[in-house]
Order: sequence, then structure tokens, then C-alpha cells
Amino acid sequence: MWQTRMERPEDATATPRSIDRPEFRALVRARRTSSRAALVVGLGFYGVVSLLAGYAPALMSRRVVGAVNVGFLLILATYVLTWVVAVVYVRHANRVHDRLTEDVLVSPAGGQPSR
Amino acid sequence: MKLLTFAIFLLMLGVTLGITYWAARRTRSTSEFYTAGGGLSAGQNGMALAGDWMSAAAFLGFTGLAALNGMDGALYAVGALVAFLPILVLVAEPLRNTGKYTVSDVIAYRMQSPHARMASVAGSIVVNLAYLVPQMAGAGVLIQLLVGIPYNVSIVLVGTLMVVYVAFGGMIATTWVQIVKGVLLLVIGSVLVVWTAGLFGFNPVGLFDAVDSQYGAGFLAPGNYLTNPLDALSLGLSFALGTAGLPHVLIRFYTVPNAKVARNSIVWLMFLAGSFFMMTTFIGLSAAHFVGRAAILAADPAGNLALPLLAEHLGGGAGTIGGTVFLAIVAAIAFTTILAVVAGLTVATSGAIAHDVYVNVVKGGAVSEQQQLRVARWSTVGIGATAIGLGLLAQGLNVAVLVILAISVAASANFPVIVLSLFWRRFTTRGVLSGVVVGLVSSVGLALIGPAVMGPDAIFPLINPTLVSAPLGFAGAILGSLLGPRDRTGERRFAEVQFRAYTGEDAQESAEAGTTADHVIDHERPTP
Repeated sequence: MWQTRMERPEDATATPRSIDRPEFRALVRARRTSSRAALVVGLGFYGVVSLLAGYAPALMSRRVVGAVNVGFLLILATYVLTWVVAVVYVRHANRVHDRLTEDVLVSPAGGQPSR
Repeated sequence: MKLLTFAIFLLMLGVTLGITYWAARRTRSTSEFYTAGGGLSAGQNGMALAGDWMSAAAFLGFTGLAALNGMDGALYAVGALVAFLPILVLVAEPLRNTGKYTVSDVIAYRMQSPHARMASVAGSIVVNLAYLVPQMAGAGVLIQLLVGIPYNVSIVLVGTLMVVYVAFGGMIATTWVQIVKGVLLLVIGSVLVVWTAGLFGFNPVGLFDAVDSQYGAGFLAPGNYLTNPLDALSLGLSFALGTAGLPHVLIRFYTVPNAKVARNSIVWLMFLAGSFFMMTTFIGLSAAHFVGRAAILAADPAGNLALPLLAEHLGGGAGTIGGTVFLAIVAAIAFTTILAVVAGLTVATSGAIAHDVYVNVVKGGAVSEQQQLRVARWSTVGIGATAIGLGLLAQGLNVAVLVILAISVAASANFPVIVLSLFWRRFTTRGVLSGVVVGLVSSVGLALIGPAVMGPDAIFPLINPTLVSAPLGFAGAILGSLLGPRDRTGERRFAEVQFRAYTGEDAQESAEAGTTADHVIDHERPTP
């Protein structure tokens, strides 16, 4: 619409921009929270294992089941944890993020839906 | 016996060329050339990603490391899996939503600047070439060793094949070669693991006990290869940050219709490739036990032949028909693996040269679709020639350095720029330039003065410079933005970039209609 073409950033009387709407801010917040959580847990665990490998080799070499030591068990745990984090994140994203995105795009206020 | 190996090689080659022929008939547009038409399913892209990521470095390198060095090999392998978490939660979906064919599209979309695009292109090309050369060299060595064709001829052969795959079949051929090869790798890996397990009564502990009694407790301890205590962490950081900066991996996310399929395809990848990486550890230990570290070292001091030697042994041993057939199959799969990866690298580099530099920077976007496709195809010829030249020069060089370098540059020069473009309001074009420069110089410089190049006399103590160069890359990008003039327009624009990145749609009342060619809004997407 011609009105939007002429809009300048100072023009605060225009219809609310979709980027300011609470639905979008909610989406941004949700995505930030879940990505932070996934990275802290997933990368954090792996980082700890890497540090232990470098700085606590005796601990990592301690045998647990036969010759299988703490280190290998931690590495196995890293595989499992990484898979779990990925699945949990994606299920959350498919449910929550996508619903929030729908809320943003089907906009009741100020203008036609974007799709 | 060499004839048998040769025959199996030819069979594999025939399959890939058949795929290319089929793909060529379906490649009529730039969308098909760069993104396979954009309609891949999560499973297909996941398998292709796995095929792309389960490279010869994983197949031969991880198994070799585990065979010679025990736990450090396992750390490498798991790192390659964890590497996809940052891609999954930070990069994949925004990239899919804001770019068209290349990674630099995303940077250009945010910055609206050809300079920013060129800086990103520089980072992409350095990474791609650094990744490409060891693949070529590896293929040359492999073919020479197992089929008897001299190194130089093998290099020319691989270079020519990759040009044929991509010039004719584009991303469609690349995708399906990656899928086929991924399936083969998983099958062969499973066979080797199950066979080994069977020999130990399906008790995995038995394998560990065996190598432990054979080589002593020190073998299964950490630190046999990653001797500096910070090496493991630097390696992990390399994988975690660098993978999200590898253009040939990231462009795979343009082959799916939307962000949701992209994220689901990563889950597929993580299970498929992750399982494979876990297998490499078992296979490596198995090789150490059955073939013996001495024999592995004798065949190749870097350990790259551990897996093929195990296959030969399980098949019946050297000289037997079973042994030779199994070895030939493994070698042919390794060769196909390399071809699939170099094809992906070629598509990515072609995108950088044809789409980024020629179409967008030089011609400002004013190029017909057919001309774009033509330039894309011809650029692969140039890339192939360069790859062959570099591959010939690389003979005898320690190519492991280059692989480390590729991921390090990706972590230090590419990753900071991608992340800051997507998430930081204050990021400016100056920041892009300084980030790429600092990241490139620090990672390359530190690798050259590190143990991989200088051995025990190294000035810099870590094999992997990423622990130092990635923070430097971030610092360069951040300081470059803060110390230069503010980009008020860019900061206002950031909200719209963010909207597009998260939702895949343009913000309403978007005031900046944009007339520059870098404004990649004409997003070709298949209709929902």
C-alpha cells in the first residue's frame, strides 16, 4: 500500500510494525532461550569432557567395566546426550516455535497476512 | 588381484556417472544447479548431509587415530557429532530463511554491501580450497596404493570427475552421490562393527580388554595424540564453531523447502553420521587388535589405512580373494566418499564465484537465468583446474595440516561473521572485513607456526589454533564494528533481518524496498 512505501522510521503513527509486536518478541525470546539451553547443555558437557581429557587423564583412564574406562563412558554419554538434546530441541521447535511463528504471521492488527 | 580392485572401482565410477547423467537431464535452472530445486525431504537431505560429513577424514582418519592413539581418536569422532548442535540451534534455519544459494547471500542480505559479500567470499574460498586439497591428495594416494595408477594421473582423474559431476549434474548429482555414498559407508561400517563384535561374542568390553592387554593401559588413555592439555578443547572448539562455517555443509540447507524441514534433516544427520562416528572408534580399536599397530604404521604413518587393512584381514588376509575383494570394496567406497565431498565443495565454490562474485558483485544482479547457469557451469571448470594444480603441488605435503586449517579458518573467519550478522544489531560492514581478515590471518599464521608444520620446535603449542584464532576472529569483527562509524540504517534494518531469519517472511511495512542487487528478497521458493 502506498502508505507503507512512504513510511519513515520517525513516523510512529503508522500501523504497528510486525517487528514490534509482542507475538514476534515472544518468538525471539523463545528461540533465544531454547538455543541457549541446548548449547549450554550439549556443548557444555562436551567441553567438560574435553577439559578432563586434557587435565585429568588419570581420572579418565580409571577402569570401570573391564578395560573400558571413565573416558570412553563419558564419550558414550556425550553421544547419547547430544542426540537427546537435538531431539528435544527439534520437538520443542516443531511445537512451540512454529506455533509462535504462526501467531506472528497471521496478523489480526494492521494489515493483511503476509502469506 | 589389482585387476579385481580396478573392476570394483570402475563399477563405483559407473554408478556415480549414471547418477550424474540422470541429474543432468533435470538440471535446467540455477535453482536446480545450486539447490537441487529446493524440494528435498528431511530424510533425503539428512542422508546427503551425512554423506557430505562422513568424509574420508572420518572414514579413514578417525579409525586410524583410534587404532594408533586410542581415546583421542574417539574424542575426534564425537566432536564431529557435537559440531551440529550450533548449526541446529543457531545457523541452519536463519540461513535457510535469509539466503538464496550461498553463505555470502546471508551476509550480503544483512549488510546490503558488496564489500561485505566479497569479504565473506574470501573466507569461503579459502576454507573450500583448504578442504579440497587434502581430499584430492588423499584420493591420489589411495588410488596409487590400491589400484596402481600413479598419483599425478589420479589427481587429474579426480579433478576431471568432479568437474563432470557438477558442471552437468549440479547439486542434484552431488546430493544423490552423497546419499548413495552415505548408505554405502553406513553399510560397510556396520559390517565391520558387527563382524568384530561377533568375534568377541558380541561383548564390546571384550574388544577393549583385548587392546588393553595387547598394548597396555596407556593405549586407552587420553593424550596419546592430543599431547597438550588444551589440544582436546581446541579440537572440540574447532568442530563446534568451524562446522557452522563450512560453506559446503551450510549450502545443503538451501535444498529443502523451509526451515522446519531443515531442522528435521539435521536430526536425521545426527543419528546417521553420529552412529557412523561411534563405529569408527570400534573399527579403529578392532584394527589395532587384529591388524596390529605396527602393520598400520608401516602402511601409512598417519594411520589412514587402518580400516582398509582391517577389511582385508577380516576378509581372509592379504592375498586371499576374500581379503582382496573386501579391501577393494572399501577402497572404492573411500574413493566415492572423496568424490562426493569434492563435488559438494565444487558446488559451494561455484556459488561463491559465479553467484556471489560475477552475478551479484560484478554484474549487480543484472544477468539472465540462462547466463547465470552458464557461468556457474563454467566456473566449475576453473575450480577443477585449480584443484588439480593444487593437488599436484600437494604431493608429499602433510595434508592433515590443511584439514585442520580448513576447519580452523571456518571457525575463525566465517563463523563469527555469520553469527554476528544474524544476531548482533551493531554489526557493520567494517566489522565483516576486519573479522574475516583477523580470523584468516590468525588461524593460518598460528597453524603454520604450530606442531603440525614445525613439529617439536613449534612456536605455538597447539595443533589446532582455533582456541586462540576463533576468539581473535570474534574480537576483530566486534572491534571493527565498534571502532568504525555506526551504521544507523543497518541497525534499524536489523529488526527486519531478524524477522526474516526467524519467520522466513518479510516484515510488514518494511520501509526499505531496496534497489541494490545485494538485497536478496527475490527468494525463489517452491510454492507451499
